[in-house]
Amino acid sequence: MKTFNKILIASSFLVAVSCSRELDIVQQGSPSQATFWKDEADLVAAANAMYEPFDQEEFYGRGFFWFINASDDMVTARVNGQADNIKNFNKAYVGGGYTESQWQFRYATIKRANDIFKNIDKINAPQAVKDKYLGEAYFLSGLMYFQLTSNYANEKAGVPIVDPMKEIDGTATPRAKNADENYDFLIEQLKKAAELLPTLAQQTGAEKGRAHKAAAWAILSKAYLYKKDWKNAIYWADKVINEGNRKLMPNFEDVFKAPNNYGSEYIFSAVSTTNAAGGGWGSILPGVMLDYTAWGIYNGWGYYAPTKELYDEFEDGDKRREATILKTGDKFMFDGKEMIYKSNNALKTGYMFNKYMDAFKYPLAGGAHVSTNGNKPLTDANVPIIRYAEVILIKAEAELMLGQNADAEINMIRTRAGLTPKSGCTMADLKHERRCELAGEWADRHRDLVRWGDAQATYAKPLHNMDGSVAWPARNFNPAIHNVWAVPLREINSSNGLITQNEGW
Amino acid sequence: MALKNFPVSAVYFNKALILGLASFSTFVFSQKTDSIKEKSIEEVVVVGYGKQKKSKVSGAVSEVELDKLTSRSLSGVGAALQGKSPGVVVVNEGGDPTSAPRVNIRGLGGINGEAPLYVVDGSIYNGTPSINPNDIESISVLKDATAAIYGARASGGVILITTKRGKKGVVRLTVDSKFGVQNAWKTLKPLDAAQFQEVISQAYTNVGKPVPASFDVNKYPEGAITRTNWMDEIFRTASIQEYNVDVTGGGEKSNFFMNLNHRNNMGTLINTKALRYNFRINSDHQVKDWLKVGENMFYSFTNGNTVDTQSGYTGAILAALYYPPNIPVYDAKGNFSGLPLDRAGDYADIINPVAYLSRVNVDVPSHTLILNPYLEVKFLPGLTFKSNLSGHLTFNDSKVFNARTPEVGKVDMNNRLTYGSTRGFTILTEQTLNYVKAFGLHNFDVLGGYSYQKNTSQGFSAFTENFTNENEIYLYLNNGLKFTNKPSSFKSASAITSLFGRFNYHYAGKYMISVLGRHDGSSLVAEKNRYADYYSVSGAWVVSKENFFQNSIMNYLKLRGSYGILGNLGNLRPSSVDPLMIQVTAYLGDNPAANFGYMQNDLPNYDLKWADSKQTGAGVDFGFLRNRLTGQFDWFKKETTNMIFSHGLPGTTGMTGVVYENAGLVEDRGIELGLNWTDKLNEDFGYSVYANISTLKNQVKALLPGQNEMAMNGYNVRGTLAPVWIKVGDPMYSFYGYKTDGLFQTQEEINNYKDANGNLILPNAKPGDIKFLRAPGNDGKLDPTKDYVNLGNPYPDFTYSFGLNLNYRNFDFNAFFQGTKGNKIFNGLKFMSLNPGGAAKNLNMDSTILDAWSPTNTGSSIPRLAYGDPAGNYSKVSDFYVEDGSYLRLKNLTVGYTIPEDTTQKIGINTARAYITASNLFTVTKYTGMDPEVGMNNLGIDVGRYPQPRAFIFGLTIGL
Repeated sequence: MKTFNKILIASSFLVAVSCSRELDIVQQGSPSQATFWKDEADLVAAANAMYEPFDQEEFYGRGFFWFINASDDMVTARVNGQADNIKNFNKAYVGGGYTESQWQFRYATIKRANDIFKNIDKINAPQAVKDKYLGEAYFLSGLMYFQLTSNYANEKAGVPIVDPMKEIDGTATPRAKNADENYDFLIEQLKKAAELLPTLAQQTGAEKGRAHKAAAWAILSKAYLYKKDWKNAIYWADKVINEGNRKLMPNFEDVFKAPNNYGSEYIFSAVSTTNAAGGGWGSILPGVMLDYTAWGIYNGWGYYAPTKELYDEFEDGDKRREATILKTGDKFMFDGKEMIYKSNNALKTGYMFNKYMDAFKYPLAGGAHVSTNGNKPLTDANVPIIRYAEVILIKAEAELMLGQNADAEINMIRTRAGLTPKSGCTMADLKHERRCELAGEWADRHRDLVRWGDAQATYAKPLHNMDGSVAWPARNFNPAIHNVWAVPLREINSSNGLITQNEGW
Repeated sequence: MALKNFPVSAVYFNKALILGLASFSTFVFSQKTDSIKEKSIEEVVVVGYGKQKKSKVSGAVSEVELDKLTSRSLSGVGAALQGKSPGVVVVNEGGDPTSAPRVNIRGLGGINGEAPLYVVDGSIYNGTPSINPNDIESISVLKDATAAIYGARASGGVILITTKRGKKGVVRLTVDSKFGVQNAWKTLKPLDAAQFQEVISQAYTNVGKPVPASFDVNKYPEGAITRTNWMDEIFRTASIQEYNVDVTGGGEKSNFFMNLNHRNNMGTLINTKALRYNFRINSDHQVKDWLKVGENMFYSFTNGNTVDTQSGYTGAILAALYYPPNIPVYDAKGNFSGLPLDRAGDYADIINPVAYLSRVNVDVPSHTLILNPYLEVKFLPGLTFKSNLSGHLTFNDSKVFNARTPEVGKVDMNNRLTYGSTRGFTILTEQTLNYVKAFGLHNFDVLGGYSYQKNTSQGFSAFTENFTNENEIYLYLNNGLKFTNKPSSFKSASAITSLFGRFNYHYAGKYMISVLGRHDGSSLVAEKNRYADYYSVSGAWVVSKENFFQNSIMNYLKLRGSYGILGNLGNLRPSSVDPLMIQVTAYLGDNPAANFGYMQNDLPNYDLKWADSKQTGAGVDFGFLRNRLTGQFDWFKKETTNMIFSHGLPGTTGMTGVVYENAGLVEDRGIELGLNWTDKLNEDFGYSVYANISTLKNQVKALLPGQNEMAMNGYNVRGTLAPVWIKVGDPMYSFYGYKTDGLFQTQEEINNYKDANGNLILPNAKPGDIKFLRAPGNDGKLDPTKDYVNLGNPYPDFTYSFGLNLNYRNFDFNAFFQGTKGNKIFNGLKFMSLNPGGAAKNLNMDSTILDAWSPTNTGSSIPRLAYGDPAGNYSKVSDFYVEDGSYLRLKNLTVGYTIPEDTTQKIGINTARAYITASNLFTVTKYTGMDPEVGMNNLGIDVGRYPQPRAFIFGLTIGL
């Protein structure tokens, strides 16, 4: 009896623990790669994820803008060693946080596009739906490769092309042979995008901001321009001009206002909104350009400030000058009040970029137009990545390079700026117009100077403040090295020797 | 319910509480339990799933010296272990009151090595146990392969904690109260306002740049007036208090131990603190002569407030270094001051440090409940069945409010509240059958068992922003006006099953052998690799029991050896094999709306398996002079293979997460020595002295196939200096950078420093800049890929400690020293504290910069003042930053006095003791930063970490 009791008590404990399937635990909360890729909702979710990096501070907030900041249009108005090194083509910047994640962000979007290419056949959805999102994937992937190629690739080495069908095994992808190989690849992607994407008119309101046909055409024309394939640049620019249903807005400064985020000049922008968590979502470029501490009212970051060189480039009567630049003594509206501009920047050029400042005119409290979060100083205005005026100038430049007349295109731009038309326009006119029209934009003046072969001579001259004093001393630009930027150090370090640094960097 | 069984103690309990709270101002008492313990080789130690006489143990088991543990006020078990056992290395992760120290046994155990496994009263504890150090009766440590009895997660060693239990006899109530004050033992000394102006203006002048008006005393005389020493403002003399009430007793059949504890540790940085309440009841009941049941119940409540002292940008202590000293804390209206509006651009985007610290608003109440009943059935003489059930519940809430920052400098008008809650539940069941039998001099002890453990964790988090009113009463989710962020919730689970067995044999206590094995299954590895088998063999020979051993001086000698393979699950998570996709948001549309997406950010690995740790050890236990001198000497080698490491992915994979892989080999070797001398000269005077030393030699032997190095870029100083790498052939986590050869003294030296092509190696250098050296073999230009050399690593070559206990009549005395040797610290603080304008902006700096090199101060090792660091003195990783982190610290000093019993008993008190304890009383170190105990969780990079406090505590123990 006693023994029986003992066994009974002991076995009752044992029962509680019998097991066989105890180690089969299904993870919960979100799908894994194995359970994803089934229906339309999955495809939409996969496509949405491609746009996610656009919110990153160093993506369309600063990021490549550090490179654009190397141009003669602006200086870094903050005391900042890393930024100074970038601007001075000093390789000490390599490894610094501002530029290290530039590959990571772009290849993240490329990867998410690749996943769509790889898995599209598994998705159960109508072909039209599949085409739409495939088109977005081709567009965004092509755009990312275009930016990587133009900044990092030259005739000596390209940027890695990740084969979408190859199983990801955690190793790095080696660099393509050269920039041409990259251009061929990305142009193919953009062409597929152009085929599959809807037109702007076909997009619903909720779809605005996503890729569309004219955006693919516009990037194609820019890619061909950079590739110096002038005919194709014209061909694709013409597609936008003739079939894109785009036109210049009558008033230049309206282009950058939130109500015109999808105005007639829109082609593709970094979508920005204050109606999201943590102050907002999108490009912080407006706050980055806003004067340091914004006269105590807001956390202006005070980084990219225009130079006298840029200001003086504008002809008298050019409406774009005041729309682009605020100068010391100018009256302007800020936080609902009229103020007179005076800089608090560490480096006072006496100027501030004015293009993206419309939202700051209204009272800031409440965060309707401007984020309340000083660490995320964005507005409700989208920041253009490429807009119609640039497409016209791309066509004009390609025409001039072919020895054709580009007066019509250049004068479209001039007329809108309130300037008199020119005839017999030359490359010099084109360069002038491109500079004035696109100053402080993602169009990338620095890349233009490099493409044109003007960088070395331009950067050999110091840049100036409004009062004529030197804002930035002359710099040494070696075209053999500095025509591309340095590959992020972490990509080289983590590649196990597969990815090499650009020569000279 | 539990109290109902002990009506007597409940009454005492109430009284004690009142007494305990009131006892400070009163007088001095004592208790005899702190007197020196006679060490004996024959004492019983806790081993895995049982106890053994120390003399019969064949593995490397060491006991932890707990001398005067109850006279110290400690954050937890980690602090109690520091320096107390050879082979157990405890590294404080800064002096933050809420931070737990890192405990390692015999090295880090490779990349993502297993942390030690804690077993409390026989039950495996997930993570570091939240336990009241006062409750600890004993701690023993399984350091070698014999830990394989806990195979699954024992490769990092096992720490076995036994809590106090009641003893047969009268019921005793003991109240211990401590109260003390503490200070940061060292802080930084920023420049005063005039010096700040001078240094910055000199730095501008030296590089030919115009001095900003704010640093020109003529243009801004206000700027030279020191109004605030920000270090003094953020640090404080803080209080520390702790109370323990123990009730203990037992009869023929039952015994109990009960403890109530409260500790309130105010941090030395303003608005930081750690608070704790604990309650424990342990009881055992002999129901029948063959049936015993019992339980351990433990409840803990903790809460705390801390701030980031690890970021090179926003670290709280750095903020106080950076902030201009001419700014008062408050403005004329009594609000926090900001930077002067018209001068803000000359400084930087920095926050008033006092405002920053004062606004930290964190509420993280955490409840832990452990219910651990057990049952023991003796079937036959020697045959015992034990069933152990342990439920471990945690309830963690987190409410973090980020207030607006309206002060000029870094205005942020966004306020936000994050509220989250996590529940954890771990169930552990273990059934063991043990048979002990002796046939003559042949002794057998056989154990078999099964265990199952499941961990689940679930929770939610929500976030709203734009609070109109920041008053405490409004700080709830519903008062945020903007709630664009979706709430989130999660659930995750993992399980482990194990079958295990152990066979122990000894012949006449002379020869022993122990073989053990374990069959483990884990849900965390890939399905096909779920099960793994681990084993160990150990043996010992007590030489002193042999007839030929006749030695009048040495009376005890035992030789031990062990070998085994243990499993390691490192830091595997339930999602490591097949990571879940991550939900992300993109805002799109003419009226931008959230578009949700899923993306893959981590790479799956369907081949993931257990990491293995091969451990070999040998040791000697000895006793001299009738065991007055006892000691342990051990040698070990640990080889960790198939290490589970989560490594970052190259950018071209498009994933920013990690992949978990098995690869590589890391070897740890070391020796350990522990000595203890205990003597009692007469009834009045006894003493003991002990010393421990542990060495560690670590070497990375292999990484992923074809991989020779791995940059630890995530560990850096402001994204610029990333000195830590793992390289094959070197110790793990070493610092790599340029070697330097002091400062250039003349332009001639710079001009003569040329490469093979005749180009200047450092063309930007001026006298007073650092001379960076190339590695042998490079005769070209300076090149980090060629010239970086190993500059040391943050893990100590050896750690040591020694202590002294004295008892003279009613006085007792304890001194405990602890130190490290050979560990390097990357003093990243210098990047900000000595680098005018170079770390980004015109930040204030440390006063040691006053000694910077100048033509009239050529002896200095600090580079010349040069605004913006044009020569790159600071932007290069070099040995300029690497400092010796060795230290020797008087961790504890206690003097106690016990009131003679005849006196106390007159007033109805059994024992009374008063004591004074000082911690971190003095430190010997060459390290120039704030504190050498910077810890390992930033891999030895110091950017101004929370320093250790120096505390003085007065305590009183009264026993009824």
